[in-house]
Order: sequence, then C-alpha cells, then structure tokens
Amino acid sequence: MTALLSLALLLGIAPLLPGIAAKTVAVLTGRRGAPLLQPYRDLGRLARKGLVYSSVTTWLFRAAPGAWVLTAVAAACLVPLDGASALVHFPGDFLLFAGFLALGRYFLTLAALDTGSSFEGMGASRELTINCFAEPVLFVAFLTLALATHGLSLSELFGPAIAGAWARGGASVAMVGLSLGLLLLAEAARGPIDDPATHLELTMIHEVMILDHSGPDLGLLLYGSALRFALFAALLVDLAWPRAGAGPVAVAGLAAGLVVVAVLVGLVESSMARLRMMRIPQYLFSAGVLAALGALLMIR
Amino acid sequence: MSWLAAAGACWVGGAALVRLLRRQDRTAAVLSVLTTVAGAVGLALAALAALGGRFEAWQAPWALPFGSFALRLDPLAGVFLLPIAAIGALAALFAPAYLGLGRGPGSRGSSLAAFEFLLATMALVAVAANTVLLLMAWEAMTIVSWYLVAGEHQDPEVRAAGRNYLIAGHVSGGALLLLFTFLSQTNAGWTIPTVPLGAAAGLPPTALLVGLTLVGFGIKAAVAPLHVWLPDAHAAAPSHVSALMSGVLITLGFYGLLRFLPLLGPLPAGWGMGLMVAGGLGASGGVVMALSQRDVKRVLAYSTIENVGLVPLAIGAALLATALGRPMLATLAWTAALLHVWNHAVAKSLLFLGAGAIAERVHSRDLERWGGLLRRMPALGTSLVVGAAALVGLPGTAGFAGEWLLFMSLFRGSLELTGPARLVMLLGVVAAAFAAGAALACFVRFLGVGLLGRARSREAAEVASSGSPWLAIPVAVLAGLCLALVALLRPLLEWLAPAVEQLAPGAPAAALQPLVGPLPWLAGVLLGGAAAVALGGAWLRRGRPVRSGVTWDCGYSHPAPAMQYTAASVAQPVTRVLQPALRTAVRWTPPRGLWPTALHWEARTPERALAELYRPAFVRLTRLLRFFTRIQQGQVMVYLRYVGVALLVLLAWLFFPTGGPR
Repeated sequence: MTALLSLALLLGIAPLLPGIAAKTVAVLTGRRGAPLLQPYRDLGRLARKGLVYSSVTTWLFRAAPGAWVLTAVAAACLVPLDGASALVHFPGDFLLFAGFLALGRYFLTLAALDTGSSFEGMGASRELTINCFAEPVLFVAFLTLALATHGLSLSELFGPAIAGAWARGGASVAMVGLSLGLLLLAEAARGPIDDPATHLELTMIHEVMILDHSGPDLGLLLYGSALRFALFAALLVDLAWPRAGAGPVAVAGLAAGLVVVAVLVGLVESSMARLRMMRIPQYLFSAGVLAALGALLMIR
Repeated sequence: MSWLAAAGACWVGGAALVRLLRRQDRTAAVLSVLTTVAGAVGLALAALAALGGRFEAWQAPWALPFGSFALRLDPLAGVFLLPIAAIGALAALFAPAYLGLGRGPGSRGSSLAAFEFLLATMALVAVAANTVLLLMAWEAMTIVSWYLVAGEHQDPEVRAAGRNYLIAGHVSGGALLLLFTFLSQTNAGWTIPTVPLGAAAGLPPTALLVGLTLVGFGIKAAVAPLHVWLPDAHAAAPSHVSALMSGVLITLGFYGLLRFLPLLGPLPAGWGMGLMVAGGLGASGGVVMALSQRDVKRVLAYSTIENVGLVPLAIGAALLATALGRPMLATLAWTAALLHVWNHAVAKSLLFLGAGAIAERVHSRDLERWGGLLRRMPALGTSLVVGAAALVGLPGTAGFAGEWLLFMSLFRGSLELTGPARLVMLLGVVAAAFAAGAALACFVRFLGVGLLGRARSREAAEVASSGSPWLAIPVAVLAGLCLALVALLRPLLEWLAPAVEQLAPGAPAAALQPLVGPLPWLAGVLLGGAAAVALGGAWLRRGRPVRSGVTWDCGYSHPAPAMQYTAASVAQPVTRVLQPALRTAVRWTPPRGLWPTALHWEARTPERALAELYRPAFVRLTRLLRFFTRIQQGQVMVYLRYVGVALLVLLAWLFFPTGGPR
C-alpha cells in the first residue's frame, strides 16, 4: 500500500523539484524567482497548446516524449520509494532500472538527431558522451551496495538492509551516496554538468535536444526529466534514511527527503560554475572511483 | 540424424545445381532459395530435436587412416545449428535480390552456390565427431567464406581483406592441426572425446593444449587481440555473407571453445580470469572503435567485436566459477554465453542485411552520405531501429535478456567469490557497463546520422523506397524475432538447459527459470505502456492544431543538409576523451586569410593491434624466414627437381639393407 502511495506521491511531486531548485538558486542570488508551482503551470500551459512538427521528422520524433515518460515511470515502479519494497521487485531488477533509463535515452537522442538540426545533434552527442561514462558509475554504485547488503534487487540494495549496511560499512555507503549524488546532477541535467537556466543553445545539453518539441510533447519531456530527477533523489533519500516499516511516515519522509535533495541541488548550482564539456568525463570518473573505493573498503 | 542428412543433401546438391545452372540466372536464383530454405528447415528440425536433449551418433568407414567418418548431434551442436538454419534461410531469401542490385548478373550464380556450400560446411563443423573431419570442415568453411569475402577482387581493399582473412584462417587451422595431433595420442584417438581427458598419458602440458585451443578457435571467434582480420573482412564481403559471417560463422569459434575447453579437464582459475580480461578488453575496445568508424559495415564489424567480447567474458566467468566450485554461478554464466550467441546472431545479421540493402540503394557505405532514409524506407528503417535496440541490450528486446544474465553472473560472482577472482568479476562489471553505455552512443549515432535527419548526399535524396520486398521481408522477420525472443525467454532457457548441462555436468539449469522473474512479460508490458501513452498523447493533443514547419535552427529559416551534425562530430567528445587509447589521427587545415575558401578536417582511427602488434611481428617474421625464399622461388623447374630428388632418396631408402618398409 505504502509502495503505491509513494509512487503516486513521486509522480505528483516530481515537477515541484526543479521549481524548488530554481527557487533556491534565485533566493541565494538575491532574486525573488518564479513561484514554486511554476513548473505545474508550465505543464498546464503546454498541454493546452498546439503542436508544430518539423517536416524532416519521422515517427521516432513523435514517439520520443511518450517513451521518455513511460520509461521513467517504469523505472519508478522498481525503486523502493517507501524505503521498504518496490511495486515490482526481483533479483536483478536494478539492471532493468538501468535498462529503462537507457531505453528512454535511446528514443530521446534519436528524436534529437531526427530533426536534422546541428544544435540538437550536438545535444545528443553530449548526452551520449555523458551516458558512456555515467553507466559504469551507476553499475559500480549498485555493485558496492550489493556487496554491502548482499542483495541483488533494488528493494534490497535501497531497502531495509541499508540500515545494517550503515552499521557494517558506513564509509562505503556514504561514498556510494556521494557518488550517486554526483550522478544525479549528470543524469538529471543539473549544474555543474548542465545549466537548466541557460538560453544559449551552444551551452546546453539536455535542453537543446528538445528544442523542436512543442506543446503537449514538450510538456511530456519536461515531466519525464523531472521524474528522472525525482528518481535519483529518491534513491538518495532511501540511502540516507532507512525507514522501512514506518508506514505513512515513510511516505511523508519521501516527500521531505525529495525537497531536501532539491534544495541541495539548488545550493550546488548556485555555488559553482558549469564545468567545461571536456571536464565532465573526469567528473564522472571521480564519481566512479568514489563508488569503487567504497566497494574496495567493503571487500577488504 | 535423417533430418541432418536431408539438410546436407539439400545444401550440397543445391550448391552443385546452382553452380551448374549459373548461366540461367533466374532459375539459379529461385533454385538456390528453394534448396537453401528446404535444407534450413531440415537442419532446424534436427537442431530442435537435439536441443530437446536427444544425443545421436552416426559413423561410416572412410578411406582415410584417421578413425572413421563420424557425426554426432547433441544439444551443444544444436545450439549452434539453429542459428545456421535460421539466419542461413533468411540471408538466402535476401541474397538474390541484393546481388541483383548493383552488380551484373554474371557472378550471381557462383556466389549463391558458394553461399549454400558455406552453410553446409558450417553445419558439418558443428556435427563432426572426428577431429580430422572437423578440421576438414573448418578449412573448407574458411576457404569458401574467403571466396565470398574476396568476391569483388577488382578492388585492392577487398583483396587485402581477403588475404588477411586467409592468413588468420591458416594460423587458426595450423593451431588446430597441432591440437588434434596431440589429442590423438589419447585413447579417444581421432574421435572427439565426450568426457574430460584428465591426466591422460602422452599428452603435453595442459597449458599448451589450452593455448592452442584458444588460438585456433579464438581467431575465428575474433576474441581480442585475435580480431584484426574481422573488420576488413566483414566490410569487404557482400552483405548477406557479412550477416552470416558476423552473426553465425564466427560463433562457431565459440562452439569449438565450448566443445574442447571442458575436455581439457578442470582448468585452473587463471584461464577463466585471462579469458574474462580478453573479453572485457574486446567488448569495451570494440565498441569504442565502432563509435569512431565512418564506414557503415565497419561500424557493424567493430560492434561484432564488442558483442563477441561479451561471450568470452561469460565463458571466462563460467570457467572461473567451475574452477572455484560454484555450479550455480557457472550455470548462469554458461547460459548467458549461449543466449548471447543467439541474440547476437539475430540482431547482428539484421543490421548487416538492412544496412547492406540501404548501402546498395545509396551506392555508398559512408555514414556521412546517408541520412533521411527512415522516411523513405519505413519498414527497413524501423527494423533497423529495433535491431539496434537489441544489440544495445535495451529492455523489451532479446538483447536485454542476454546482457541481464551476463551482468547477473558478474554481480553474483562479485558477491560470492573472494580474492583476485572477485576483483576480475568487479572489473568485468565495469567493462560490460562501459560497453553497454558506449554501444548506446554507437548505435544512436549509426541510426541518427545514417537514417534520420535530411539526406546527406544526392544519391540518398534520390532513393524513393527500399526496392524489392525481398530485401525488406527477411529484415522485418529478424526484427520480429528480436522482440519475440524475449517473450519466449522461458522456452529458450529450457532449450538451452541440456546444452548447459553438457558443459557443466550436474548444472542446476532448471534453477534459472524462476530467476528470470517477469522479464518474459517485459515486451508486452512495454507495448501496453506504449499503447497507453499513445492514447494519452492523442487525448492531450485532441483538437489542438498540428502544424508542420522547418526544423528550428536559431532563427535561420533555411537549414541545409550539410549543416547537420555529422557522424564524426557526434563521436568526437568520446573519441577525444579516449584519445590516449584510440590515437585518432586528425588532419586539420584551418581556414586562412580574410576571405577563407578551403578548410579541411579529417579524423581517422587506426586499428592499433594490427599496426602496432601484428604488422611489426609479421615483418620481423618475414625477415627471419627469408632463407626459405631460396628454396621456394616459384619456378616449376626447381620444384620438379625437388620431386626428382625426393623420389631418388625414397628409392635409396627402399633398397637400404636395414631400414625401409618390408
């Protein structure tokens, strides 16, 4: 029951997170910023708009927004959002989680290249580069947690067993947490990897891939991106706060935790400049080394 | 066994007939399709019976002094026979239309006949129970496939590719000849043993035997660093031949490894680890090379090196688990290896057939000259999108199940094992994860630049459709297989179980069934979700105006095809980061002057193993063996003299009082 409730909560609260991060940045830089609920208003506005399709595009371009949301929702079904167990769980489901995220990215980057625009090609190229180096980090992080919890399902890696893992190898779990935090910034296209607020195409990564989408399609893409942000944030919350069996408190805890992560992301974004494109692989490499060190500490 | 004989008769007889009737172009083509498909049906029935757990053997005396003409059909052979039948039949359907596209009709019959004969030799490799027969089939397979690779020998690049392939094939054959000669010292003689040899008397050290097996079969399987012949050969061959070679023929190298490695007794853990390292290097290196290629077929060829790198990763894990006494882990890894062989066969032949059909229509294998083709060839293009997803291992396709099993065995290995074995498993996870991420980049680049956007050349812009339906139908069938195989995961595992038990006696293969969880329903769930999203999207869009416009390009309203992101630029961030390993050479002439006219940028990624390892080694070898050129100088007179001298020596030996035959 709590699993279903927390999934509904995640699906509902996801658009709020970019809003909170943006608000944090605004407050810290001395501006008032857009209202917290602005992302919902944007989604509503986009849902009422018409669509423009480039005459170059094919069915892939039309399918991508749906696939982007669908894969994120499917991945969310595998995450123990209430800190206890996911809606669907079986040994090896973490591979499916990574697979769903990759499937969404497959469609999104193909849709970007479908437009034949050099900007969107550039965005796709950058996104794929990040994915190349982010995928091993995600797997090493999962591996470290598997070593720490002796589980092979997300509901074990991020579920009740995490409390014991903190007790046995707190340093390892903390390293994985940090590594997943770094990964969140890359996967959710936040600073210092990407700049969601930029208006110059040449400096964008995620935003530039969706330049040609419009109306409800663009809304779906924005919602899917927010969901990915929320998914990784939920993993962090599970890691930081083992709260299995807490019932409604666990669900409320998810909401509170997501808000905290969003504020932290805003803090990071307001405190450092974007990395140069060529620094991103190094950044991800350090995240991977961090998780791998966690693994080595675990098996020493 | 009778089905097998029928298949062999169909293929060999068909090949002979097609070759004879090659002047009647149409008749030969129809005949080749009919006989190939009939033979494939027979072989598939034989393979399915074997996969059901039936062992059959058949032998007949022959004139050679080495044992007898013996065939054996067992589950392990069945695993490799099924792709030969399936891919062989589909490629044969494709071949006549494909060969009729660009080339003159002259050589079509010979090529089709050779293709059919190649199928027969491949099947013989998998069922031979006599090492000499195996070696003969192996060599025949190499030579026939070389004939097909070097078919367009007017092109010097094709000639070079053919020569490299032949050299690699001979090194492989030589290693096997040595191996089989050593093995014949045991009780089994020239028969392939069915039980591990153990410490039989008269055998050289196991390390030598394992080394010979790895070199002999590893060359054909393109296990890194023995892969250097592959990219050129696959690029040079006609597409239906590339599809068969890349998807099926090279996996027969794994058949050899799986047949002979378990025979060489319980191997020390080091061999498993070494094989895993080679597999990990091949997988991650191959995919990065694929990412930096411009020639469509070279992209696919290097992607094959990636895919066949994952198989030794799994085989190595299985050997390691067996050495350390972990039967469950070994079962998982063996199954992963076999399932991956099937998935690779389906997806890779799909891509080679599809890409080959397009390349013939566009008259170029250069990615930068394709573009905008999914609009014009929806069926072919969509099949390629599905096949690429399967090769990347995305959920909902067959590829995912194989990668899932591989990752599960690596993860379980990391959890269960200790010491260096665990470290190798951890590294295996990193290599496979990097390969998966980079494969996504590689195939999005392949599809995005090759099929999407706007046509990048005049030829691509003029292509109206995919042409003959016989080009699109086999590709679409393979795409359907990519999606169906994952739904059929449970029966597939059941089919693989007897073969796995053969590889690891007493393996708990049945225990895998509950492990796969809801994976078989995945394709259905995703399709259902997609339908729901499509309905939801339609509801969102109801009554909204839908317009068509130009691609938005920063307010510039006349975007040209040349302004699109190119294949080189999509790959550039990755190749630049990996420059120390790849050594991509860039030639860059910047624009000069106030009104610059010409500028030039060119990137080329060399095959480093060939340039830095094999070429120097072969040059040195040539220098070392120069002495022999004095003996072998190519004049018939000299050779006749050798024959005469040899005869005289033999004659003298015959009349020598003590020695000589009675």
